[in-house]
Amino acid sequence: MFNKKIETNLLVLLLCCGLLLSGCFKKQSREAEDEPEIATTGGQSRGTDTPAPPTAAATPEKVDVHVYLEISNGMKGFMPAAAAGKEATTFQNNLLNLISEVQDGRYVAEKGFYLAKEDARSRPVLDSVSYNTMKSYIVSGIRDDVRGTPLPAMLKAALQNSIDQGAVSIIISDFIHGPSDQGQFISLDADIRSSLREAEHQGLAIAILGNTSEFFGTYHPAVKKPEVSRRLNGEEIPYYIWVIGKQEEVQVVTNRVLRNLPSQQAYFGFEYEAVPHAALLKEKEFRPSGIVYCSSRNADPCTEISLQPAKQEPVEFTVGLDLSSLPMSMQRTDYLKRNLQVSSTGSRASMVAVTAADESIKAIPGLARYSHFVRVRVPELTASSGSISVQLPQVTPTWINAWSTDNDNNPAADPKKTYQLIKIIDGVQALYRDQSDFVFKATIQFNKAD
Amino acid sequence: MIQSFFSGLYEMVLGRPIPANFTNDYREVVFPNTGLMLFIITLGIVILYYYVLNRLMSTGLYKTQHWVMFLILNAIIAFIIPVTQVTGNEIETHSYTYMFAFVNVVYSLILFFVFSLLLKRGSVQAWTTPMKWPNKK
Repeated sequence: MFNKKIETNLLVLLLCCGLLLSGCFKKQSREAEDEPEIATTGGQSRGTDTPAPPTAAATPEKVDVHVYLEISNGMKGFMPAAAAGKEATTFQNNLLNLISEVQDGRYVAEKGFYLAKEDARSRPVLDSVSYNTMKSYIVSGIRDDVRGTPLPAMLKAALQNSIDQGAVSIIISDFIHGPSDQGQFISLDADIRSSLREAEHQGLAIAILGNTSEFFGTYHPAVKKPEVSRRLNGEEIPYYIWVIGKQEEVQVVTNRVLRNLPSQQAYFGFEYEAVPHAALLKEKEFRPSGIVYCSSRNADPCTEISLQPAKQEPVEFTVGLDLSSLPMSMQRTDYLKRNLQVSSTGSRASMVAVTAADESIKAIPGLARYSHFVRVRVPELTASSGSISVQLPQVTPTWINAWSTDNDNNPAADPKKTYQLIKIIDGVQALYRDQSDFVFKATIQFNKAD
Repeated sequence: MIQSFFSGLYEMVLGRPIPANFTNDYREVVFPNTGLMLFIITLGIVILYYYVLNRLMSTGLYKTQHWVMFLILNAIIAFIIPVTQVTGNEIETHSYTYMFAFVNVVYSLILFFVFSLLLKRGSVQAWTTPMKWPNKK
């Protein structure tokens, strides 16, 4: 009887325990539910705050485009008259693609085609022509006799025309300066700068794409010694496409209208105010090391961290960046590896590695929004709080140096060079010198962990 | 307040949470939850033992071995809670997690003993369990 009593009592006891436990667990789960709720609302409001600027400046659906094709005598060799059995030059192929995309592509609203030349007094003239006229110039060659290219004046005229009509300018030229007065060579950078001044005033950005094409015909070098002109038969001569307009519109043109960009690209005046970024501290794919954690448990994205590097155990963590809005050439991992910087106030931070998101990472929901990942190493703090920034400085691409020459007289011996390209680019760069030094800057605040 | 109290209580013995990237989850959720539950459950079981089983119901579970049984039951619960807390909050498990569970077990033993000393005098059958001290009669 006594045993039976114990048995029933034990049953009661178990029941009580069960009730007690289940009650407790419920309490815990409620607690756990409550907390993220507050946090997610915080996260959401932040979430709507941060993507707002990019959507406001979102890439426009359609852009107005003006195409300016320079038709001085120096351009004739790019566009030899078509003949049966003769292949089109790279220039012809690319230009035909370009103007057809402008004419019929879905990303172009208003379009204009202009032939750029100079009059007898070396003043630039922009001839508004139809699509078919420009096409016939490209396929059957230039019949006009246009002596030189007053480069700065031509740029200025084209730019002004496009600004007046709110269009993106696409300027195609060999960019061999042919001034009436040789002294202008010395002031080329300053002249380029003043000709493009309006672009900077209007907050426009410039993309320069360099390409080469076979050249058949008379080549007019800028340096007239020893030869004033040469006959070339298929040598590679550079030509350039300049795209000038609002940053987003230029990107529509470069990414959607021009599409297959050459690897020689340079961008000026490009700046991204808000590149989405976060410190990735809980992802298994980017396990941090050392003492580092997000200052707020539920922050998403996490832009404030607590860390405490130790001598034996420096802190290392990964910053996720969404660079998908940047020009393609700036998204390349090797470019970022060379140019990306990590700077910090209050710590000695350095960059360890840059990786682009691969397919397996894109499949992870939390990481899919980032296109690149920068591993940052912090061996030491110099203050109890500060910031760590991942930034991309405005740099002149290396190809510009390689493509520039002081003597373009013999392109067969020294191919793919343009006379004083550096000076031309210097002039462009001077325009934006006072703007931000960085294409983007992603900053993460930190506090010393307690 | 409670958060820092419990964080301090556990980190005093265990050191910083490992892996460190989950520090805030430990400090803001796991430590306070576990600590509070440890407190409440231990108190509940002690009350159950002394007041329900050995006063209201007179079950005859007044011997020290019965008391030890409940002590161990409480310890098992005290081991399970931290582990479920850690996994339930999607924190990576680490040997730290089990060290933490072990420390929680030790705390549960101490707490159970302390609560027993404080509360046993109100029990009818078990006022001398596990020993007579400090009650005098």
